Amino acid sequence: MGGSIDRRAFLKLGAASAGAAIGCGGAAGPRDAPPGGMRYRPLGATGLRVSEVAFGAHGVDNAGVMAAALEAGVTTFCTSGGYLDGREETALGEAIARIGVPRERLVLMTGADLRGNETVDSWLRDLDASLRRLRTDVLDIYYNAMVQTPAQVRSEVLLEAFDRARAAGKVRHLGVSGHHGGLQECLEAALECGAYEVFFTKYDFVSYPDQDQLLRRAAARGIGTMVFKTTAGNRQREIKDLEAGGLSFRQATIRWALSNPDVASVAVTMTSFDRVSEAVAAVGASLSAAEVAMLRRYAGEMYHRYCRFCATCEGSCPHHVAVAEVMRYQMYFAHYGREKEAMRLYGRLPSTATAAPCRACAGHCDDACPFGRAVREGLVAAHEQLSFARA
Amino acid sequence: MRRRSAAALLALTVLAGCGGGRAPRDEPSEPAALLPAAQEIPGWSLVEGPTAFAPETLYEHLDGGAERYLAHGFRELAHARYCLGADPPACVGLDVFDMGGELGAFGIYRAGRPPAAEPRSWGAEGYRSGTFAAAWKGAVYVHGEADDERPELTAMLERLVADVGARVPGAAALPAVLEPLPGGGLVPLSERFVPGDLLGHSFLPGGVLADYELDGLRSELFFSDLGGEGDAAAALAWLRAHLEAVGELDSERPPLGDEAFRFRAPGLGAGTALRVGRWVAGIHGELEADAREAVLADLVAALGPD
Repeated sequence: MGGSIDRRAFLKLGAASAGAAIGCGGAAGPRDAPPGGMRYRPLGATGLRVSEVAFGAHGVDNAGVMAAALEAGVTTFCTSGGYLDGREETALGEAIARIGVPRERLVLMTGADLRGNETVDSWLRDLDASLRRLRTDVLDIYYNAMVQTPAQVRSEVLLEAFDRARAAGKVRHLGVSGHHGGLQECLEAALECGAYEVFFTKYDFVSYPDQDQLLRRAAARGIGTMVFKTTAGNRQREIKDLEAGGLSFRQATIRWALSNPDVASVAVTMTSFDRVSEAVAAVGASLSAAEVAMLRRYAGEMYHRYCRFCATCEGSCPHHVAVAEVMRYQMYFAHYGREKEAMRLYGRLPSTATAAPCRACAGHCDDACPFGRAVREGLVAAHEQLSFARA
Repeated sequence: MRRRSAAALLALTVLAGCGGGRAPRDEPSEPAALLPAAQEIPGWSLVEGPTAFAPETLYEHLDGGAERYLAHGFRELAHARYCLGADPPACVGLDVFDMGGELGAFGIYRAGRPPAAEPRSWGAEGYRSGTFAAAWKGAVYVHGEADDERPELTAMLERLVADVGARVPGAAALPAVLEPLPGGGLVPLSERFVPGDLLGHSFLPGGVLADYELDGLRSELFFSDLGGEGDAAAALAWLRAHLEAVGELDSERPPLGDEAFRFRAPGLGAGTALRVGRWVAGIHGELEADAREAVLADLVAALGPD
């Protein structure tokens, strides 16, 4: 499959995300400003102002690099207590202490994922441990991390524990974070819940076509949004000569995310001085035409790798394979980290609906796909990945 | 390489057996072959995997963490999840990494080791910290995580990681690149290997870090092999220029050669840097000049001019 797609097809890639956002974001907007200087935005109705680029501390324990980020105007630091038993929080706390930056200059956020066996007391103990590791008395934002189901969002234990912690002055705002296949449902649940003040979410120009509209509704309710994983899979190395002569691909994705006024900040992992400079330089003016073209090209290269689950091809299949279902489960497996669930779902399909016959088939589905995907090839690979549960 | 067939990997695993420390020393250390077989552990079953991830698919498993593993030389990962019971299951996830060499395995292990972790005699070294456990040996890094701290889960977690560590062939020794580190004042388990951008600088290709504590004051020692004297001199000049830009240089020169200099910089504290042969080295933190330069002099003597 080639990478070229026509205009009509491109707009179908994701009308609310890739098509509209890249198309509109590329035009000059009201935020035009010289690039390179840090800028700040209000985080919903929290009263916090966050730097447009936030320091993602994942795997970073270099106080010199953190000091450089501070010097460049980065004031917002994101970490997690759930990673390696607090190793990251310890490193961030040590670095902040070593740099000697006043606590009130920082917006500090951490979080952890619920395991399902917490009690209010155990959650509060974990929060105290995070505060000790970060060497602070109060967190600006605590986020419920890696949510995959609305039930996790509505956790009564978490909500009660958070209320107690806030009453004790240990934490100011509650956030929710996720990047799995059920993210949209989870954010909807957070909207309905009313307890969350911050979304900390994966956001890119290829995935989650309904996300812009959802973030708009969140903003209307005073929920501030910070985002991460703007690179849409970070697969730019698979595309030869992906450049625009100006911003790098990574920088362009940061600027693209910031073109949405409902996004307050983009969290970027800064492992070196170069990464600090790269991220900070992405703040400022709107995307150029060349940079928009670069993102379009990336989206185009990804275009043929995504099934839209429209089921148009199923009518042409002589074996009655449930193509849309199979490809949806394969997406769960390969891109959303839900391998077990994907295999379980595939295992529940009637044997006549699986992709078992596809390897020996002529591939009538390829001709029937309105998006020109190599459907048979995808089905064969999906069957290989998913059929373990049926063995 | 794309993700391998899970069924094929399961067959490999079953054929390899569980064995624990009974495995022959010359057993291959492909990650999938090192995964313990669940059927030999009463009450436990394999509910996920074995699933293999290659460099181009690692991000599907680790998301934002993948880049760090790739930088350390990652080649292949075998992931499996072992569960006790079914409703609801209580599980332990296990990741076995082929890091391409001992430096990669050691580097990623030490980078993630929590400071207060309890040491374990697994592989070359191992630890348990809450619901996490890890070990490394040779090119293999193994990491496990239990759903919670129930004794039956943490016992399984420890068993699985120990089992993998015991099955990796070869000697259980620290990488030779650490040998030049002076012994006096060295904080135990503080040695790290960074594969690139040492201290966050793109002009330093990677190297070794270690903490030293004397009289309650702590500093970080570093050195990086530039491969040649010219490149080392250029890198030291870049470092000097950077430190002068973000901090300040001390007009008083240390007695450690013509190129050595003292500095003070945000996040680093007070330090001394120099070149010795093809190496760029230095120390920064809380130690006073005399104390830190005594440690640095010992390192210089061990590195030698070549």
